[in-house]
Amino acid sequence: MLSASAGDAPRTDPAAAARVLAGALRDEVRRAGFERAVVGLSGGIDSAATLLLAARALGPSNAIAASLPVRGSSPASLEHARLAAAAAGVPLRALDLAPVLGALEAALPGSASDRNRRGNLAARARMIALYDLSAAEKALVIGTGNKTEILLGYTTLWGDMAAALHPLGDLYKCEVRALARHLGVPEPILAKPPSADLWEGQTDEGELGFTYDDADRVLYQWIDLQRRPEDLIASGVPEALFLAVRRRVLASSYKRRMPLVLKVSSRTVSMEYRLPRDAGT
Amino acid sequence: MHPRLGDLEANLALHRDWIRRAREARADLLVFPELSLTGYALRDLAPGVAVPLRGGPLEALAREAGPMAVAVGAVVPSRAGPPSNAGVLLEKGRAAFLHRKVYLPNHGMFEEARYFTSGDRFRVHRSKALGLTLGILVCRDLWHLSAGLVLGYRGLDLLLAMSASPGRDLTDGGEGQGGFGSLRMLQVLNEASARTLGVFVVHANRVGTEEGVTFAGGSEILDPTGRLLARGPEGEEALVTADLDPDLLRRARTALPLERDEKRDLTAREIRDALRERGRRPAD
Repeated sequence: MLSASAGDAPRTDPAAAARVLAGALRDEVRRAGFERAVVGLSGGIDSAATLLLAARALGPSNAIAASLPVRGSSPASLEHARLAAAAAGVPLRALDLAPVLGALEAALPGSASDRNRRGNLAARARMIALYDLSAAEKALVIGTGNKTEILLGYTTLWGDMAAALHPLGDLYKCEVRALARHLGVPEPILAKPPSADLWEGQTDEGELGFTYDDADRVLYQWIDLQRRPEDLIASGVPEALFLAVRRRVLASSYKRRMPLVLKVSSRTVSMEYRLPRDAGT
Repeated sequence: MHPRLGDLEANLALHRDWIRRAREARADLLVFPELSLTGYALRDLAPGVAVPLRGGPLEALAREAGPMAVAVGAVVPSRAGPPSNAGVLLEKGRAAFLHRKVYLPNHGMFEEARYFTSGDRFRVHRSKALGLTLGILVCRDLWHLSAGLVLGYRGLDLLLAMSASPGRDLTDGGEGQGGFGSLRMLQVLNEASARTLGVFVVHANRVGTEEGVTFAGGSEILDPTGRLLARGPEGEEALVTADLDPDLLRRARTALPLERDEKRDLTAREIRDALRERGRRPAD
């Protein structure tokens, strides 16, 4: 593992963030014409914090929690999803997607033995289930992405990135941890290593090759504080760490944008003609 | 208040409601936040929600206000093409004074200069009904100290600051007092304007969320000594009221005679000199 020396770390106030994000979540859900929200629980810290925020914003009776395990998901994940739902006062709906994944893998040769393809299939199958719950329950899909993960592109396009909004999307992973603790996410969830839980023994940090704390410091100083790369490295950030983080940010840029429209007219949608998403609400 | 984005009809109804509430509270003046009639993040909705100064919904609101003066945040047409982001003072059944926002922020999350035409002046309005000379600054105008200075030179008594300030920099204020750093900065600016210009400041800042951005609220009223007379809650709609005693202007300016001592000719000369010198500097 590469590591960064101590340096400025992002520190959004967790109590203030809880208050502001709950208010904004309520406002954006309602202006989209909904009263309810649905959150997919992985058993991890981000989705637990998201559910607690949604329950705080809309009331527990207006929050829907779904656990969507596939083959290879750790049994602890379901247990932690239960803990998170209980902390939020929301009943947990466990929907077994193993047969769906099995059918997809059977139809798509080679997908079962390719971790990457299998992970993307699982993320997108969960997306389909969450959007169906959205239609069935008239509940907006709330995403669980955080700023670190969005910047690193450590997400599946049209999978876990697919949501109406990401309430944690402007908080780095270390800030999400502080917020989660403030919101009352149960200790076993706070204590375990972050994992996308797509195969046994998978951890985010093992896959990324650096820790979230290191990534957060580098991203915060480089992007938020606009420090120059050479100054970061001179101040003790290992060059290899900075380059690894930057490579991920630049290479995943496409995941943070809607598909390109190829321009031929003089007033192209989203170029010359830009509307707010919240128009008329 | 919390307007609806790009929905003039809905916002007119909201304005009528707040006007009724302010009249019930026996207000002489009601100040709405920036773009109160339209919402903030308009982008290409802006031209479609522009309202004329005469003969349109602004005059209808002015009539509803009766003897009360009302400052409304509106999009108004501009002969230059794209409309302006403006503060409009309604008095005696008509639009009596207009300030087009001069400083349109266009950096980071802001893109106002793309959609609006900027104003080209800072003027004041003598309100006979209020017995005060007032000026309007819209949000970013307030951050440019020169804007307040010019209004001060024109005899300002009452600054109407109209904002739709996106909450940013959610920092730990200590002792559980965490809040938007951007709002703290506006409070500093309001107090500095009140104290240094010796004027009343009424700052209306909107609440609610648009496009994921939360507006901070915390509208406030300060007297010419910089004392806080009233402050609304953060993140909630509120009618924030205070009594303004015009004699405080005399007392504040006697206790601290900054206005009497201001060296306007010296300032003008020094600014001219600084601009000449700037013109002689090599390009960056």
